[in-house]
Amino acid sequence: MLNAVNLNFITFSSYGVFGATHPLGHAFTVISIGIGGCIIALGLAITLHAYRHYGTLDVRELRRLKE
Amino acid sequence: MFTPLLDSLLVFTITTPLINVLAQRVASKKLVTGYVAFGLALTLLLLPIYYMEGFTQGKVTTILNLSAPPIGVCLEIDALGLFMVLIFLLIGLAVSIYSFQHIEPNPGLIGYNTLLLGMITGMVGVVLAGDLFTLFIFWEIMCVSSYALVAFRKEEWEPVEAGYKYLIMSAAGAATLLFGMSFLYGMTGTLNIAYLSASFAQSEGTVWMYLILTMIIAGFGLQAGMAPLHMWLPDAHSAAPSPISAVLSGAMVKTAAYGLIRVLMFVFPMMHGAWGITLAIFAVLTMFTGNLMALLQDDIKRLLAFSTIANMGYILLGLSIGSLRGLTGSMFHIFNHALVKALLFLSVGSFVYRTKTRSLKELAGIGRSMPISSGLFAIGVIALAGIPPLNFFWSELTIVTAGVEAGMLPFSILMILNLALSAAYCLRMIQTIFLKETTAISEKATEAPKIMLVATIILAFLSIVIGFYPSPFQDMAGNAAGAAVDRQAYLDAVFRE
Repeated sequence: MLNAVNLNFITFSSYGVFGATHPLGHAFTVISIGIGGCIIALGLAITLHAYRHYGTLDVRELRRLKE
Repeated sequence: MFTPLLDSLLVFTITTPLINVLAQRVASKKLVTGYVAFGLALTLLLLPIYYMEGFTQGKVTTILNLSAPPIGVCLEIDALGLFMVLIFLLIGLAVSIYSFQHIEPNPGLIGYNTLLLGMITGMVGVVLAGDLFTLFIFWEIMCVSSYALVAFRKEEWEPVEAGYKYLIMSAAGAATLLFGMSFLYGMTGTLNIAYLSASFAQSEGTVWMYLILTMIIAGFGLQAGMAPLHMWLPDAHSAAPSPISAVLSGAMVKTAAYGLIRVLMFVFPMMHGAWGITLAIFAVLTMFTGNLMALLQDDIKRLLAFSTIANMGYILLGLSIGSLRGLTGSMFHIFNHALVKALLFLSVGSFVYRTKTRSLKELAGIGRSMPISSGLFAIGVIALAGIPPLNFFWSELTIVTAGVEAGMLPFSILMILNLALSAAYCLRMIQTIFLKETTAISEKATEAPKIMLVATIILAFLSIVIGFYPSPFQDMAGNAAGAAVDRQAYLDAVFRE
């Protein structure tokens, strides 16, 4: 979904004037890729700990809070 | 580089790990927490020194970075943002004082203080941002810090699962928000809030604008705990360490409410007919979900988390009315709820610190063995029930009367019904803590450490002061709401640059 957003920004940045691009869209895309990387890194770290606790990564098993 | 407030917070955030190294050399365990508390106190002092005019006269300051708008990024500091900054710094300070004792200072917990300060910095950045680009970057600083803090006690299963759930849901919410922003950028070629406001001023609602509105309400609404998207909130709040629950509930969900106020009131004021009624329906749904679920809980932190959801419903109802009085009620309720919910989570944190349980059944009768903590808890609960001399009464009254004034009588009646529901579980908490027989666990508990009590007493004192003498605080909230309703000063400040 983040990639869809990035693509959207790039498309819109070159949409207005033919042959020229708008810098804001590109700046935003670069930063959003960086932020996406941070979230994934943190997500994987939490996933690792989840595996240590549950012994599986099956999301159907990761629902002790529901009980 | 930015503004004195953000500069000070950023410097302290970046230097905290360095101080941590120093603290290990000199073997002083509390040095880092002290440093964080000092940083927050210093920033709180900077607030009146630099921005008194922003508070009292609604002066808007624009700070440009890199290049001028509409392309360059900037910060816009107005009464609305400053009001939120005051709340965040107050809660942050109380929580960092509380953390002296609560978080065991050992080498495995290095990140805690840095992340806490990073989260506060992110929230302050969000409310001072003048364009959605800056807003989004600070938003993610806040979110990433909070994911790590929720899953902080990683040696237990519950925080890990709650953090995982929170991360997945909130990241999806942030992506939805970003999607909305990308369409805004596509339609106007800018992300500056003032320029967006000016370029949409004359336009009528097209399909694209409804799409953007939906995405932005869903994105911010998820973080604000709006009803169908609230599932992460009770898990995250109850699994996080208690001081972090206080920040999440007292400040972070308010940042999302701020985001909604900023975007809806500044960029989409002409579509109030569409989003007003939608948001009001979701607000009522949120209240009912929160209050009814809170009635069923045994886990005390989960109960408070559901009550947070209900209170977000009141705040969203005030916003959906969209009038000056409605927004004043919302802003005032944001302030009151931040204080009271932080107070409740901190005093419950003291119970949990001594007894290691969160079950209301096992905590029964703890009022006898921990009288001061329970007394402070009782002040918070009485405020939460909306009983007149305390602060919640005034803000709830403002929202209800604003609803009646704006011709939204059914919603006001539903809100009053919800206030009665919330009084029911508040009385149940008081009855359990004070009147029931003590259990084996609650009998053995001893009074909480002094430093934890100090932080809690500050918050309790403020909520009593506001309850008996609400007018200066109500005026401050009124100024903040005025800045949202009357946008001209904000727009002028940007266009003058």
